[in-house]
Amino acid sequence: MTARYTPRHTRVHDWAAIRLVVVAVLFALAGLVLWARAFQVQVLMGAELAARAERQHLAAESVSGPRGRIFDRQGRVLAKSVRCASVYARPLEVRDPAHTARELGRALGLGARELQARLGARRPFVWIARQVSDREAAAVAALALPGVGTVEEFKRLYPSGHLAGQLLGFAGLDGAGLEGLEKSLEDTLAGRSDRTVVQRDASGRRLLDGDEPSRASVRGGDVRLTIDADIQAMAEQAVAGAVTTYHAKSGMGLVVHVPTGDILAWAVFPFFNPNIYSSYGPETWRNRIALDALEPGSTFKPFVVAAALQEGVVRPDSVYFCENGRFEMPGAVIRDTHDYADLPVTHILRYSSNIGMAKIGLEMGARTMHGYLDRLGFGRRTGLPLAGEARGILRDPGAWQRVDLANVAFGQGVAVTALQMARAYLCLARGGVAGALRLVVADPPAPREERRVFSAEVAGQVLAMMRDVVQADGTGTRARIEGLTVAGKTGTAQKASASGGYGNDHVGSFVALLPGESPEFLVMVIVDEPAPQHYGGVVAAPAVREIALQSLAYMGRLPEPSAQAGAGTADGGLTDEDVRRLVDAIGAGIENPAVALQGSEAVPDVVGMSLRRAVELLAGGGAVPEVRGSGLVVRRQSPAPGKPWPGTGDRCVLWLDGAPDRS
Amino acid sequence: MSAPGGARWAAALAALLLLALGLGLGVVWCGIERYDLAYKLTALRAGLDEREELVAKLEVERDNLLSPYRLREKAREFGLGPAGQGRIRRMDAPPAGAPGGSEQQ
Repeated sequence: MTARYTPRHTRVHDWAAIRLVVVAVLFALAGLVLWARAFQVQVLMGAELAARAERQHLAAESVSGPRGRIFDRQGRVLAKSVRCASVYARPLEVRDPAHTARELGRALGLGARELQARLGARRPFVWIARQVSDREAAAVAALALPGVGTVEEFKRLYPSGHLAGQLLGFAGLDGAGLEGLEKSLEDTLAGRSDRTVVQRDASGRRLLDGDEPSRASVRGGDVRLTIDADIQAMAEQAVAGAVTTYHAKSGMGLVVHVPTGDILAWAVFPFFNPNIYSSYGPETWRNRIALDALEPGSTFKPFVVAAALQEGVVRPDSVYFCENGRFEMPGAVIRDTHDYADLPVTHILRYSSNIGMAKIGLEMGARTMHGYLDRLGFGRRTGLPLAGEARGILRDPGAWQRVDLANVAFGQGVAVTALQMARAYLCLARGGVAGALRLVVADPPAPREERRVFSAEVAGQVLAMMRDVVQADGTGTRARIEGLTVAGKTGTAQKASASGGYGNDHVGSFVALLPGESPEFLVMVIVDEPAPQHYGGVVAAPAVREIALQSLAYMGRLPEPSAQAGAGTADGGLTDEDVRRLVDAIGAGIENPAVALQGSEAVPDVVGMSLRRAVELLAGGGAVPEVRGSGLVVRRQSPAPGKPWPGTGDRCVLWLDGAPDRS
Repeated sequence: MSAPGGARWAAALAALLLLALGLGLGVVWCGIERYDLAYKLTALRAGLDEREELVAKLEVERDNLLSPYRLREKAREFGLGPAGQGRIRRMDAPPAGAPGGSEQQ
C-alpha cells in the first residue's frame, strides 16, 4: 500500500498570498483615492478653496486717522481731534421703539417723542446722537438695547475756545474742514485712510500681528501757525474793548512782525467759538480780515505820498493850497475836517488833508499811481492759505475819471482787505521793500520773495511823516507810548450805502509801526460802524496802543518811561502819590494795599515791617527781594527808601532780625 | 544579511515618523501660541489706545485751563494784571556757584 503525500500547507500558503494581495490592493486603492482626493483638493480646487479660507480668516479693514493738530508759534495746541462715540440705531432690529426711545432719551438727554419717531422709521440706519460724551456713550452701552449701538468718530476740539476762532474756522461732524484754515488746509490736516488685511479667529474676533498701520501713521499732518496765542488774546481784548466802547458792529486787529512778515495776531470781534459753531451764523464766523474789502480812507494816504515822492512829483516840503477845507471838482466836492490853507506834504499827511492828497494824486496821474498800488499788492490776493480771500477792488486806471483819481488818492473808490493793507504797510516798514506775509510756519522755510517798490530814502521820509502823526500834533496822538516812538496813520472812511453814494456809517482805523524809527511790529485795528465817535484816531488808536503796550510787555520789550518822577517823596520813602493810593486802597477795603502801589516810582521804607508785609510791598512794586538772615522782621533794606527801583546790577536785599515794631 | 538591513530601515522609518509627529505637534503648539499672543496683543493695543485717548482728552483739558483767557481770568481773581511801564524788573539767573540770589536789571 502506497501512501500519497499531499502537502496541505501549499493550499494554505496560496490563500494567505491571495489575502495579502487583496489587502495590498485595497490599501493601494485607498491610497489612490486619497491621492486623487488630494489632487482634486490641492490642484483642481486649490485656488478656490484657498480663496474661501482667506475670506474666512482674513478680512480687509479700513483704518481712518484723526485730523492733524494746529499749533501756535510756541507749540500751544489750538485745534485737536479726540476720539468719541456716536450713537446709531438700526430701526428694523429695534424690538420695542417706545421703550428704547425712553431709555435712550434718559441716557442722552433727548426728547423721547422725537427719538421714537426716528426709531419707527423704515430705514436700515439712523443716527441717534453724534459725538456724545464718554459718560453718555457708557450709559448707552450699559443699556444694551437691541438695534442700538455706538461707533467711534473723531471730534474736533479747540481748547482755547474763541481764540482766533474766525481764522481757525471749523470742521464738520464728518471731519471735513468747512471754514477758515480748517478748510483751506484740508489737504494737510485731513486724516488719512489706510486699508489693511487682518486675521480673524473663528468667532470673527480681530487678531493683530503687529503689521497693522498705527494711529500715528494715518493721522493728518500738523500745522504750526505764526500766531502767538498770548498776543492774539491781547489783540482780541483790545478790539473787543474798542467795539464795545463805541457800539460798533465789528472790529478787526492784526499784529505783524515786520522783519519776517509773521502774523502774530489775527483778531476779529464779535468772537466765534468753533467748539459750538452751530450756535453761530455765517456773519459771525466770517473771516473778515481776509474776506471783507472796505474803502480804507486815510490809511491809504502814505502809499500815495510815497509814490509821489518816488516819482519826484513832490518833495516833503512841497506846499499845496488846501482850499480852506472845501474843494470843488467837476462831479464832486472834497472836504477836509478843518479849514486848512497852505500845507506842506508832511503836514498834509499829519493832518490827513483829503484836498491836499487829491491834488497830489491829480498831479501824479492815474497810471503812475495805479502802478505803485499794483506793486504794493492792492487788487491781488496775498497768497496766504485762506479760503475765499477777497481780491479787493482796484479798477483799471483807464476807466478813472479825474474825480476818481482824486478820490483814490485819499482812500475812496478802492476797496482793500485788512490783510492787503498790512502787506502794503510792511513795504514802508521794511524801507520800501515789499514782501509776503506769513501765517503758516513752513518746514523747510519757503524762499522769500522780495522786491523794491520805494527807495529807502522815500520810505524813511514817509515813516518820518507817520511819526509826526503820532508824536507831533497829528491825528494819532492817542497812540503815543511814553519812551517809545510810534509811527502811525489814522483812517476814517465813510461807508458806501446800499442805495448808492455814501451813508452815515464810518469805518475808523489806525495802523501803527513801532518803534517808529526802525519798525519791528505793525499793529492795525479797524472798527466798523462806531458811534457816536467814528474817527480812527479816537476809536482805533487807543486799541492799537493797548495792544502795543501789552505785547511789548509780554515780549519784555516795553521801554521805561523817560522821565522819572523824583519829587514828592514823603517820610518813609513813599511818594505822596503812593501814600494817597495806599490810603485810598485801605479805605476801600482792598485786601492787598500793595497792589495799589502800582505806578510808584520809589522804593518804600520797609524797615521794621514784618517780612511778609515788606515782601508784599516790594513785590507789588515789581521787585522780588533777596532775604538774608533769620527772623520775621526787616532790620535793614537795600536800596534805601526813596531810591529809584533797582536797576541794572542792583539787588533788592532785606536783612532780618528782632521782633516786629511796625506792621 | 537582509534582516539587519531591514531593521535599520524600520528604525529609520520609525525615527522619521517620530520626527514628523514631533514637528507636527510643534507646528500645532506654535499656532496655539500665535493665537494666544495675538489675543494678548489685541487686548494690549486696545488698552494702549484707550489710555492714549484719555491722555489726549486730558491734554485738551489742560490746554483749556492754560489758555490765555483762562489765565487772564485767574490772574484777575488774584488781583493781577498786565505789567505796565515802570513795573517790569528783569532778573538774570544767578552766576554759577552763587547762593540762590536774584539779580535785577
